[in-house]
Amino acid sequence: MRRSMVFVLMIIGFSFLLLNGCQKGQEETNLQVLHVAAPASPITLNPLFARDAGSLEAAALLHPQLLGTNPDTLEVEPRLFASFELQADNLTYLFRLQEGLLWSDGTPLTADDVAFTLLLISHGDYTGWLYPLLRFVDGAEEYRNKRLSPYAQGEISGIRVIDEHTIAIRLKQLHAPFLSYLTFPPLPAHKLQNVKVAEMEGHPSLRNVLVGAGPYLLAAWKPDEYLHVRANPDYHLGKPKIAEIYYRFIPNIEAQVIELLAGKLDLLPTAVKVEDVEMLAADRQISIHKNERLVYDYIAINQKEEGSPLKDKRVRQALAMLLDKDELVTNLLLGNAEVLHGPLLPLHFAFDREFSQEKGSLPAARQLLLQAGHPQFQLKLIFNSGNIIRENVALLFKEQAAQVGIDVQIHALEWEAFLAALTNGDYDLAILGRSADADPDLSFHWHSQGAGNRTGYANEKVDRLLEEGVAVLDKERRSELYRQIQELIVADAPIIWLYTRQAIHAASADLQGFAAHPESLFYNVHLWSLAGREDGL
Amino acid sequence: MIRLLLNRLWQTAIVLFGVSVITFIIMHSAPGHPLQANPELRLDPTAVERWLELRELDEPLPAQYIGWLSRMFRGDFGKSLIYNRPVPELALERLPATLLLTVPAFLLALGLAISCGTWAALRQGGFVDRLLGLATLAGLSLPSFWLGIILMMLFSYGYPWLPASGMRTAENSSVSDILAHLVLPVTMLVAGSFSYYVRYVRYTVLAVLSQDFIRIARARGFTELYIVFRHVLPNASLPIVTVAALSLPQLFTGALVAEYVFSWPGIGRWIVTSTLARDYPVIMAVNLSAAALVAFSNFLADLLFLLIDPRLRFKA
Amino acid sequence: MKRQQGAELYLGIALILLLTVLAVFSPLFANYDPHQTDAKRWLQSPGEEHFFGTDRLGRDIYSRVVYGARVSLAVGFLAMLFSITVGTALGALAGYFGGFADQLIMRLTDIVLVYPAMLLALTLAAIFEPAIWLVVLVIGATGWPAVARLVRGEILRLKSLEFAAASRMLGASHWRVLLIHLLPNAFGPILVAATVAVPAAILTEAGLGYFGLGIQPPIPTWGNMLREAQNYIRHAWWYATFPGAAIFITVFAFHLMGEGFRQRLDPDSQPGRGRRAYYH
Repeated sequence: MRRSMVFVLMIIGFSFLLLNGCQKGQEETNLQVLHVAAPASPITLNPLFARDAGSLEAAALLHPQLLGTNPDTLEVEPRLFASFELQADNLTYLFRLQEGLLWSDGTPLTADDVAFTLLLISHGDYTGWLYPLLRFVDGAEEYRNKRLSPYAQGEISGIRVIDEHTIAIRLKQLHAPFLSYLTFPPLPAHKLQNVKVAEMEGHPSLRNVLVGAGPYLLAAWKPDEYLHVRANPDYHLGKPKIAEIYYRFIPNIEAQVIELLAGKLDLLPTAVKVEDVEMLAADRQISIHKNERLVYDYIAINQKEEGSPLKDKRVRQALAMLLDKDELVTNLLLGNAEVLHGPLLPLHFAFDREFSQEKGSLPAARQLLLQAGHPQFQLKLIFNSGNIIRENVALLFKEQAAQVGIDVQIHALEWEAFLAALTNGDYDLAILGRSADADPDLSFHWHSQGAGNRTGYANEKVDRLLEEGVAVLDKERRSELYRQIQELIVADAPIIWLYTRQAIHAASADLQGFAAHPESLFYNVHLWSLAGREDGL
Repeated sequence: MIRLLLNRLWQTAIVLFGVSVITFIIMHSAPGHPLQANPELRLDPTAVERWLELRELDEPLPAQYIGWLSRMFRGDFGKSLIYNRPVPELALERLPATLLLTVPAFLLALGLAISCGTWAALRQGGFVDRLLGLATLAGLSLPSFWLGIILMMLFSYGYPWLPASGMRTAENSSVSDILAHLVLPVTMLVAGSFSYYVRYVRYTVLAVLSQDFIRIARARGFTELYIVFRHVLPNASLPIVTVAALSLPQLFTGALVAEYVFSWPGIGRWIVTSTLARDYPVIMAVNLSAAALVAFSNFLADLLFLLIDPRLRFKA
Repeated sequence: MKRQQGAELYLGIALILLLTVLAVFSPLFANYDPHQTDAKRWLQSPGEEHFFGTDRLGRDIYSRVVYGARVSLAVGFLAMLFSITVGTALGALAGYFGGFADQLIMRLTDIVLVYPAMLLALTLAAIFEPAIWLVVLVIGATGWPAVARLVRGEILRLKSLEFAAASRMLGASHWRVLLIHLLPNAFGPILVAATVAVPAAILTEAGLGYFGLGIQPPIPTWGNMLREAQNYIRHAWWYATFPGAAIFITVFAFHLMGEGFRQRLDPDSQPGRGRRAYYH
């Protein structure tokens, strides 16, 4: 008997650790602290080398922008550059920095910092993604190719620092979207000019933002856990109202909601599940915010395969008729998206609400296939596994295609394998997402020489119109051109447009002033506040 | 003895070399690299070329392997392609979290296994013994990730008592906060390894109990409790420790799954994500160190076996 | 007491038979097409229509669990066959011929044994396009060395016995001695190893599926279903519960049977000498 008692005691002793965990202490909540969930952990806080969404969002907390865009109209707005004007030659922009800008170490932020940043981006050893935006600057290409020094030194003929606050940038030719490109932050020249550009990507002072000028300053970064930032009293748009932000990395979306309901998080950004919206909206402690984004989902069509029926335009047009996109949006996305028929998005000033594809029917699609002489064939459709919406699109597509004689083989692939299949062209159809520019210029994806033109789409007329579109400034005229371009592209049926999803955020009802930008979560973060918390409610 | 050790060391070196070659071949047997044009992000193709060049990833594979090997010998594990930081730095940063998870789980599982296993052995064939036998079989059959999901479903959502993810609430790193975060992942880890250990404990204790000196001790009228603590456990301890040493690598793999399920900011999550993202230097370093860990724990177990050959002790 | 121990064995065998019938005749047991989506009936709770409820795409979970048995058992058996065949062949060669072949084979088993199996599986599955054969290969490739060592030991022991030497002297060839006289005598331990290998393979397959590296959707596998379910634990308890329970019951059945065999063949042997699944 005593023997068993001892063992029971031993077990209880070992379990004590476990039990102890349940007695949670009363947690003190600091009233001016905001907790935001991050679905992906930032990899770097270095804004010019960040490539992934997680790092870019985090960088926006810590870095100011040279120029911003309005969240509703996407028009360019002053930021660090208080004013910008195009000179009479229609090539040179004159930018004036706001007065009294400071880095967090007290050094003034000047036009030299901006020039340094432009040199860095144009340097031959720069491995980030921003250079294509600067290649329109006169002399940038020569500078990049020559690579005279391993440091971001030297001169670009089109860039001239006029005084401490003024910088002039001359383009090779008129390029209408150029201003909308200057949304990146400047870097502190006094900290980085002695660092080789090739070593910049992993440089600790950049990665850990030792010196910043953004709305918040880095307090701590616990990898894979959270980013802790404190309000920057010298922020050029005014000191942020919320004193501290914890940007907590919580990859599991279910865990995010559990923490929000438990009051441990104040904001679940962007990717609230559509199934949760109704339940969360009913909660008086929580408010749901939605905004449109510059992203869309589509089905890519591989036309490079010799002898593939997909080379025939009629076949592609038939494929585009198969899905009922309205049903997709209603049943799958529960209405939190907009059906898309072409490459222009609702946020673009050139967007045409009237534009829509003819709603095809299955018999019409069958007819087109017969005309093309492809009554029956097989297609391989790939998508990245884990994306339930895309999986459902794939399954629906397969069902519909079977009715017109196309046998669709579905392959869900893990991200890396998916990318490899895309790169190697090992697919017929692929469900993808893509982001568009703030400017309606479609050259990146649709010009035959566009850097983002992966499908090899080439249409001479489209090319010519695209070139014309960036060479005029008048909005009306540009709008007209882009609508024309859209008609031409859609007629070629190069891809199947599906929908553009809204960002859905769930925030604590206390959070005031939150209004996400289509491209950035922490837009105007300095204006956010936690109302009601000051009273200790 | 020393010759034996040297021989073992030499064999281990060959084995580790083999592991590095196999890993390298597998890693590079499919096209692509971590920066492979991601259709949902913008990359500048010319910048990507330069990026590959700066990291010597454009060189032929044998040259890359030899470069890696020679850097290894100089103690340089390379830089992560994704984080642009030395691999050991990234690993050390995450090691404490993993230790915080695995050490308590290991001690708890072993402690529970020793108490329950001994109890069962003392009542061999009894109700407790049979129940434990069935329970351990069940424990071995539980998919640990499923257990994790069920625990989360029950105790984070159904009854919102415990946090579902992470190691602590951001600004509150009090002991009780961390303990609360530990409960679910540790339970998940313990469930698997407890079942594993308890069978060995029971077997070992049974073997000790059948020895003559136990019978003599019983005959001399010592209490069962005294015999257990004075004779049985000391004699059973070395074989049990050996098995525990052999199980260290599995504990790490278990932690890998637990960290993935509960978003624990440890080394395991990082290994999974780095492998999926093809961070070559990380994959090489991690596979090699893990293999070295296995080799080391085998070596440790062999040493212990040499010290106490159970057959010599029990069957002579 | 003996009778009860037999009960475990028979219970295990009965369960496995049941599961096998379920897997072979899935269409008879499933009351829905496991691929049939229903956009309007997603995440329905279990009821008369859908015994285990429906998933996010409105597919019947019960039918998917039934079809999932096919994949699990197929992968389990194929991976077991792979590791037993390769392991027995190499182990026998190493044990019988010794010398250089032995050295080579044993170093190879060393390499695979120290290679962290889970990492090998992760790496392989991340690099290659996942498919059933790859999953079988990954699991089999990490399982054979344990068998090889076991068989090698058995062969070494049997070789030293008199009947082997006798048949050699009577003029039997090496292959004849090995195949006719030695291997059949090593059958018992190999059988035990095989019964341990199947549940380990099933657990590994499910784990790979959970990480998204196993057999890819839309093929219904238990691991895939768990992976999908983890994003809906707040919405649908049934989504994660039933596929997981299916894995548990299957693996448990094999463990019961393996334990039963072990106790019959060699009641004093150490428990669980086989390879552990990686996911504990």
